[in-house]
Amino acid sequence: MRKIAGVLCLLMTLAISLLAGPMYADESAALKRTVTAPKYDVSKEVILEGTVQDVVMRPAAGSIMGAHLIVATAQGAVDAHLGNLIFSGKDGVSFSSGQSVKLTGIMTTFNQKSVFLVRTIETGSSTITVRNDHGFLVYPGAKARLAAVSSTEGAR
Amino acid sequence: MNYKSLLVGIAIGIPMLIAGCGGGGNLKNISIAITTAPPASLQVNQTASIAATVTMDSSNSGVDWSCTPTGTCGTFAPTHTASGATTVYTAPATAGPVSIIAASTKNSSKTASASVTINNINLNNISIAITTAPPASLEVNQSASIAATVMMDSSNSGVDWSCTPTGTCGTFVPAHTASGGTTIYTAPRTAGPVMIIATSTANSSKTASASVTINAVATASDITGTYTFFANGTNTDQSPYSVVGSVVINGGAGTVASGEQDLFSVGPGPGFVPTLFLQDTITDGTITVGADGRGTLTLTPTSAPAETFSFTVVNNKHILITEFDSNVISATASGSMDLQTVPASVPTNGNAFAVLDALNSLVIGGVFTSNGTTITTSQADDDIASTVHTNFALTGSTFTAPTGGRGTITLVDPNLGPSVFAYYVVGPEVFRVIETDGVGFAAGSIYGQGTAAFSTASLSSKFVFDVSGVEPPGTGIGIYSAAGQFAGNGTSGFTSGVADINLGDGTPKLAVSLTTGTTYTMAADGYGGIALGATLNTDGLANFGVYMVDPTLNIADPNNASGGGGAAMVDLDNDLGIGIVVPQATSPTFTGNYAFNEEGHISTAQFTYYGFVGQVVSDGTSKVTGFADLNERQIALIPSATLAGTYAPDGTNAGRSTMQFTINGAATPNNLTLYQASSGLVLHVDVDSTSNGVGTIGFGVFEQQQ
Repeated sequence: MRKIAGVLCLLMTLAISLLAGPMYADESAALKRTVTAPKYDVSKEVILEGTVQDVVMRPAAGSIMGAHLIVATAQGAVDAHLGNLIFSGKDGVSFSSGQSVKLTGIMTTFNQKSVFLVRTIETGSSTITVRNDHGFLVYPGAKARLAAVSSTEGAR
Repeated sequence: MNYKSLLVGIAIGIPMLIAGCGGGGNLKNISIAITTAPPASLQVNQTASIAATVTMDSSNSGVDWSCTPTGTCGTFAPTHTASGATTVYTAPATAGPVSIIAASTKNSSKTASASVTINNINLNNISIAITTAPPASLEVNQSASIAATVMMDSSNSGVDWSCTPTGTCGTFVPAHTASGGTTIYTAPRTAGPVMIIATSTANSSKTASASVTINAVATASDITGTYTFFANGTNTDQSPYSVVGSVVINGGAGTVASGEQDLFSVGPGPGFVPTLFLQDTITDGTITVGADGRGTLTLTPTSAPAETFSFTVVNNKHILITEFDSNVISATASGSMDLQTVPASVPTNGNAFAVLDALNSLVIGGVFTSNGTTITTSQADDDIASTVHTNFALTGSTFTAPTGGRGTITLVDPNLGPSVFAYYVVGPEVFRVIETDGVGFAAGSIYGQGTAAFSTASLSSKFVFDVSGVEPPGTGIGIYSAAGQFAGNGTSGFTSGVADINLGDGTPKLAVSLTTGTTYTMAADGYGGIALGATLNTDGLANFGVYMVDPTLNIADPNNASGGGGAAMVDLDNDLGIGIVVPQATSPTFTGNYAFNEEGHISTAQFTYYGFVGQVVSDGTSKVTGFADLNERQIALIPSATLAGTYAPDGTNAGRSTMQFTINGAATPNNLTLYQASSGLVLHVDVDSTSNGVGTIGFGVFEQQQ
């Protein structure tokens, strides 16, 4: 009897499993997303320290658009891309020549020139977030709105 | 003499004698006569058929033709004829008496002759008539084949073509034809009456003419009614700018009677704070329209600075626009203006939507069902700065009914919280939306889905798409554009697909295959997606949300009854953007008048965003020419820039073409790739290379003017 009950249980389980398909018809929309390498890879970040040589708000043609910071480091001058957003709003920052800065970001090449993509910049006791972990420039007004964003991707 | 020998000699000699006459009879018996005589007189270069008959020439050797004075007496074709056959005599170019001589070929001493007096042309006898007339009316830039025949012109000098008013009446290719030959007349860019004149080249006093009325593509009076407009772009601080609204236009009077708009411009001027003008009443404005459909619209909002838009009419219900001013908050911003049909409409039943907030680097798209006040069911996706969420519900989202064609939406993305939008009605199935909460800065569209049920078969035919948005700076300049085409297999993959992708890094991906490894899905509610194959060389573009629209709805030209179907689209990967998917017709043409626009960014000489709207005429094979207003906001406003381009189809990928065009004759051309959806719609993407355009990105449309 227990053996029969076991078989019935198995059959019921199978039946439920088979019926479950139509009940989740929307799963036909399921698609495994193609995963691509991040364009900004935090694992490749480095830290640069130096002093501000120049702030270039309107860079030359053929550069990444938005403001650049020219930083004198022990290895020479570095072209660091900041974008325009951190200069914006009532908390917008400013830099002065000779000011010490500590940059976290990655070095890349754009149009055959080296450029340092800054994610955070430390000036004295404050740390300014320039871009997020994916490399997008951060708009100061967006902080509150995007604070709740989960870093977990959904399943399609 | 031996008689026997004599008989033998006679027997042999008589046949020999007969044979010695050659079977041609007696040469002396041959005679010749001109049986078809030339006229007594001919004009110089005039022709006449003549013939001569040889008699008693059993060899049928025929006739040799000649004339005197030798060398100046004319020509014969042919110079030798059979007896009785015709030759064509052409009189010489100089006047004087001529003797035409027919000689027996067998016996050249046997001749016949005829005297002809060659006269100079009597120019007064020449006449000319247009034998293939132009149509009574043509639209500006349209072409027609015409022909004229000259009579009594023995010089065969042909026809010279001209028209009035001189300089503004059109062109002829070629401007000179042989009598009866065809020329192609192309109407001017300006409307009005034109007189086409065919002139005898031999006698310029002999003319024939035909009147043609050149009609404008559109007139201001055609643009009358309430129109919903939107323009999205970037301001001088390289930050988002959008304006959406509706205006009541009295085109006949050249005025804008009233209107309303919502506008945001983030960061121009000191402080870089969002500038919002919400529910801003438009008090007045003006409109002018040129014969080629290009025009200017000015709007005077109550709060926002006055705006000027350049535009090009596609048809009376659909107009491409780009902002063309220098007010303190303005930008380069492009979009369209469409006749508003049912202002009380609110999104109901099934809908697809897509919005982009470039400042906060996010897109939201999906499908939803609405009862007119709340979203009841939904499937949506978002990409928030490269963090992708898919297949979530928009629970708690609500609508307010429109007043004067404007309503509001509270859109609840669980990953963002509520966002508030204003929506402006185009019609029951199209709504332009703009975020008004001052927190986010998104804009986009909502499209009805009709009553169709969707499935993977919905993507089984051919489609064209474009998509543009933002990407993490570093790989490119921070923005991108792409366009392409594909055909689904009806179940889960692509049978074909190709795209051009430009990150602004000077190395655009050209004609990249989209086929290998690509999969797609589509649910019954129109919620679907495309995952490009992992090995494809797509510069990081990988995943798209695809949200089907009503198969009868033309999402590029919402009041157009044809060209329906397709989808709204969002880019859901490291990059993020929005776009459209539209059906691709079989064997479309690219001929005639087209409205054209492009929105983009250029840094060849100086950083600037740009907006571009104009009108071109395509010859249907390889050339476009036209004019456009170019707003390079950070450099200059350039009105009526000349455009000249060439294009060529991609022999491998039907539907894809490449184009090079210059602006104001610049030495360096711009490179575009075109994807043709239909004879009425072409999507294009700028694909400049390092040699002429690092940082150059643009995308837009060509839409046939009707």
